[in-house]
Amino acid sequence: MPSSDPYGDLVRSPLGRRLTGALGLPRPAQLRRLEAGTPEFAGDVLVLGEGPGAEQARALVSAVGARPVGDAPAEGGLTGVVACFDAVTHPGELSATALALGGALRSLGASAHVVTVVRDPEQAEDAAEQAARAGVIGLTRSLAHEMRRGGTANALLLRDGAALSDAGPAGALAFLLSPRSAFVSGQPLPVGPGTPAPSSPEGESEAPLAGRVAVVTGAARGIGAAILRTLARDGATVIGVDLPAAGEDLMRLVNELGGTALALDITAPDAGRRLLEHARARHGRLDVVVHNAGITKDRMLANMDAARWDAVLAVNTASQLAINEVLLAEDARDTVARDLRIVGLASISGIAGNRGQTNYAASKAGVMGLTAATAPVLAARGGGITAVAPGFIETEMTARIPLLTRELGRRLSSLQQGGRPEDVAEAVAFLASPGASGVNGTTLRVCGQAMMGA
Amino acid sequence: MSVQTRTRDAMPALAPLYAGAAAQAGRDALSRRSRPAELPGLRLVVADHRIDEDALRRWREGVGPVDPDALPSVLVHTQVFGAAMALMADPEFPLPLPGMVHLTNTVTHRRPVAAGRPLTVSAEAVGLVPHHAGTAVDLLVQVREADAADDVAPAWEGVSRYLARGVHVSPLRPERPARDEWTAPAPTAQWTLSGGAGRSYARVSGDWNPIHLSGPTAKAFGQRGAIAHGMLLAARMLQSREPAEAGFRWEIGFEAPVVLPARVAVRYAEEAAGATAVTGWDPRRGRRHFTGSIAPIGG
Amino acid sequence: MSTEPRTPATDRPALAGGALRPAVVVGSNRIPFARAHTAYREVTNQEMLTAAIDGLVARFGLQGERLGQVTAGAVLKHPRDFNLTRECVMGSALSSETPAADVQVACATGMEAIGTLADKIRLGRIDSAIGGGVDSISDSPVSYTDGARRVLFDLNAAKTLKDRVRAVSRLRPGHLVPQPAGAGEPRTGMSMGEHQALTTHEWGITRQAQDELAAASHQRLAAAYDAGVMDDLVTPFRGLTRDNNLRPDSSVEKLAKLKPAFGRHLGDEATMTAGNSTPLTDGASAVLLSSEGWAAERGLPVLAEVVDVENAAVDFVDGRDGLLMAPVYAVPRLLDRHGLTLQDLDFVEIHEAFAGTVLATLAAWEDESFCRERLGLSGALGSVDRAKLNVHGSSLAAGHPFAATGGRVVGLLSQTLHQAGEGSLGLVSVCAAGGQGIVALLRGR
Repeated sequence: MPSSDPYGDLVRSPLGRRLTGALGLPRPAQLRRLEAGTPEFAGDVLVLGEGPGAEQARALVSAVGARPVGDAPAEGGLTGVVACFDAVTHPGELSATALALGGALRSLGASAHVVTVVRDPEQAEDAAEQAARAGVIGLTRSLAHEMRRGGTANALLLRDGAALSDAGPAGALAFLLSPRSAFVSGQPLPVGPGTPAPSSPEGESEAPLAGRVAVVTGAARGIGAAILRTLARDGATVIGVDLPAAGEDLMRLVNELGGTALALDITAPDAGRRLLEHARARHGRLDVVVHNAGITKDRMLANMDAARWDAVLAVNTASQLAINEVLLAEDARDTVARDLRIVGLASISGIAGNRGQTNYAASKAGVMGLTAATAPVLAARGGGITAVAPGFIETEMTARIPLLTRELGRRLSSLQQGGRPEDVAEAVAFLASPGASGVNGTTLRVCGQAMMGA
Repeated sequence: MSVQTRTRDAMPALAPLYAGAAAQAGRDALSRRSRPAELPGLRLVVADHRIDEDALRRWREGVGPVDPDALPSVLVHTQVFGAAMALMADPEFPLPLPGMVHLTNTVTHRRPVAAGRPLTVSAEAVGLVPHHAGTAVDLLVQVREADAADDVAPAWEGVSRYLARGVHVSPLRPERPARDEWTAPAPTAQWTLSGGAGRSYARVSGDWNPIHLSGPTAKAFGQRGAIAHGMLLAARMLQSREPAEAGFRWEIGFEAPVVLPARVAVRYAEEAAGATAVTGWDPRRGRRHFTGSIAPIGG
Repeated sequence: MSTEPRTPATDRPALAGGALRPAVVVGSNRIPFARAHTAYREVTNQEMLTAAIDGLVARFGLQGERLGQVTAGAVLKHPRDFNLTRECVMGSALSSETPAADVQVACATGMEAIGTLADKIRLGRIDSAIGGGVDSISDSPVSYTDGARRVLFDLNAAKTLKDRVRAVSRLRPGHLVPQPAGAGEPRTGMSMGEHQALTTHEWGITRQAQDELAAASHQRLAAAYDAGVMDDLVTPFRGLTRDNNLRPDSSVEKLAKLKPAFGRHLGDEATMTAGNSTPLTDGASAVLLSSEGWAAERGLPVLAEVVDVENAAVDFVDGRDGLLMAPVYAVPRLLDRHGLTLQDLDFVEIHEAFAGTVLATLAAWEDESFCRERLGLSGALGSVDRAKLNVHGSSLAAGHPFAATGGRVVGLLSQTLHQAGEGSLGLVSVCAAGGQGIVALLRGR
């Protein structure tokens, strides 16, 4: 893939390293991402903390194929750390594990993943417990800033009495320790118990979406295309949806991946029905819906016109509402899986706001709103609805941002670089998979811990 | 008038005949020799004449497609007309060959003529016809299979009428016929004749008359430009329309010459009994180039 | 030893003693059509047809599928494209084990492909097929003159320098004038437009009527695009998302300003302009056909049934019939076979080679003496309700890449019939060079 980040390339060259070192410039690391042919998990994962969480973490680390260790090896090379704070009831109890974690940081290899495990502060019994739990999130966010060499730190928040060993947290832990989450950092991820995936005898982790049918809107190019690819890689039969005008790119992609292409304007009144009909007729089922299609029509609010405002809200938010309504209706049950998983694309603009993007931020905040609001409906049927909020992602769209703004967007994050469409796609694929059964109603940021809105 | 038969053992080539006739005309002009006023009463017979496959190949390349094995009627004409030309080129022929204008052709093509088979060709000038602009002569050429009896009707028989302008051998001078009012009908075909059409036809026919070859050579002989050979028009008229078993009769009469390159508008109209009337004209000026007909024998 | 056949007769293909089964249209795909020498100037026939097939594969998820046969063709074809359709199949996302064939019936090539494939499906020889066509004026072959060809062959065969020099010395400037593939009829030397000008004049079709038909074609196709009618029929290609000949703002007033382009010999009575004639166009189309069972197994839609196809030809050479009037003869024969009349049809698609072609065809069917004397009918065949004719526009607006038109029309009509409902009837009529025509009867499903 041709690089769109010449600065990032420069600093990774020997000369560039000396130069940027001398000038004190940021030195973004090359992130390790999931690649075909290399194992997803390998090496040593340090498990810290006392109580049931640590015990379960060791088992889970073994189960995914890494080696759990109790002490940081002197030679370094740790691929991950799971720091379990799941039993804390008072802020005073944080120090032991926190300091042990600190002591292990020098032993981390490149692109290592630190996961702190804590119970969701919102579900604490008392003030001291909530303070302790919230403290872990604060600790994790700060640690994420301190991580070096492309490392990430995220907090796994156990909800609703979930044990780390339950299907929901287990799946989330695997994701956060995996190179799939290379560009996810500084994020708390609330996870409920979830439901065990129907056991498939072979290659469950290889093809988490095997036998499932997934639809992605806006699939012809950019992040949508990466999502379609990733879902197909994970075993899904894909339906690529895009505007009729994007048909040629969509055709090539779908023919490469296998699956079907549907030319559809998602704002059309019958879009949901046509999508459902397509899935019903061609594939007989629908398990995953990814609302990726989105547009920007930036203008300062003072200069905004109705056309720009309405188009953005219609495409980015209203279409998701309308399509969800059709898919969740009673008469769609013959096709739409009970454990349907919906993933909507939000944006950090929707969290932090952005100059010139009142319409876009409204639409993306709207996605997060509808995601939270629809969660109970999906919970009732064993499915889930989540959103992904990408930060600065290197796409054709961001390539058109003026150079300085673009450079700022890239560097103003803990990982000091822009993400790739694949990073968003990995998060979406996780949230679409049975492994994310414990995640519902949540928006997951894929932003390299961007400063915006953090 | 008694007819004397003279036999030649090879078909006379056209080019030397033209050259000889031109030289004779020059000598005649100097000597003020006068030609006889009557036809010579001579039949020229070429025995064992064969039209070779090569002629057919050249025809396909230079004129157009040919149904397998059948010699096109006009191709037969080109390969046997040397006999008639030899008669016309004779110093004792009443009309001088140079400058003669082709007026009409009428051909009765009874049986297919095969390439490579021995033929007996006879040529004879059969009549002088007074014309308002001079005197015309009808030349009859007959083609029989070498083994056919004399009383069998010829397989191919053509009468070509040529006009010698300004030569009056008889005191009779017909009136110039009134020009008929003619308006161009709807065309059913269009021929595109290239500037080189005259040269390709010459390569096929061996008829290297300079008025067909190029603009300059034609202008030297008083034409506006290279003009399409009348028999090339006849060949186009008959293309893809000759019955496989022959048994047809066609004729063509020439009017305004076709100056090359040209687009010729053509109308084929079916008349009674399978006969087709053909008209060719200049679609821009509305002037008629030729009229013709194709009909089954007896039709 | 049992003499029982292994398969019960009812399940066997018609060829093996079973019953004929319906051949159905599952769907279609085409690339937007482009006026010659515009958007697809640098694109080959092979690339265009492959794109049309690949769009169909993507639409119906046929990646890696082995189909019974793909039949398509091009009217203007390079010698190197001798196996055009097979090459396209191998370059497509279909299984390379899908056999292919090239056919050619001039402008009705696509119709011939679809008709014969439908018959094969009916007979049980194959279960699935793609029929279509492609044409490119921009990619049309240019040949050497015969003279130059002979020189080049001799040059190739020459062994010595002297032979080579001799061969080359025979080359004449005129030899090097390229010979473009002609649009003229070989037997008359007249272009299709000139032929149609005679027919248009003979039937007294007015300029006004032709311009009205042309304007309606543009307006209807533009409306179809706007309404999403083309979404499941067209996949964009090389930056083109709609047919670039389409002029949504076309009007009779604008068309009236154009000068006659054909039949100039008619003087003031010439009526055919560039506006009411189809332009030379590049494009490709593909139609997915199958048995009902094949479609059902894959959850694919069934839009329409190909009920019957009729080929016809007329003796146009001496003007007995118009060059493009063969469908006038084919349609009554086709309808008669099924006991139908023009009035039974819900939709009629008459390919707009020229506005005059459509109008002369309609006029002939309305002409009692013509129908009696030439078509052998007891009276006029009747009128076609204009509201049922080319409802989403036709070739005057979309353009006409010769071999691709059949697939365009069959795909569009099948969708129209499907939306109209089960049992609706539609007619396709495509005229072709050489005095030919192919018409088809489709029934909505």
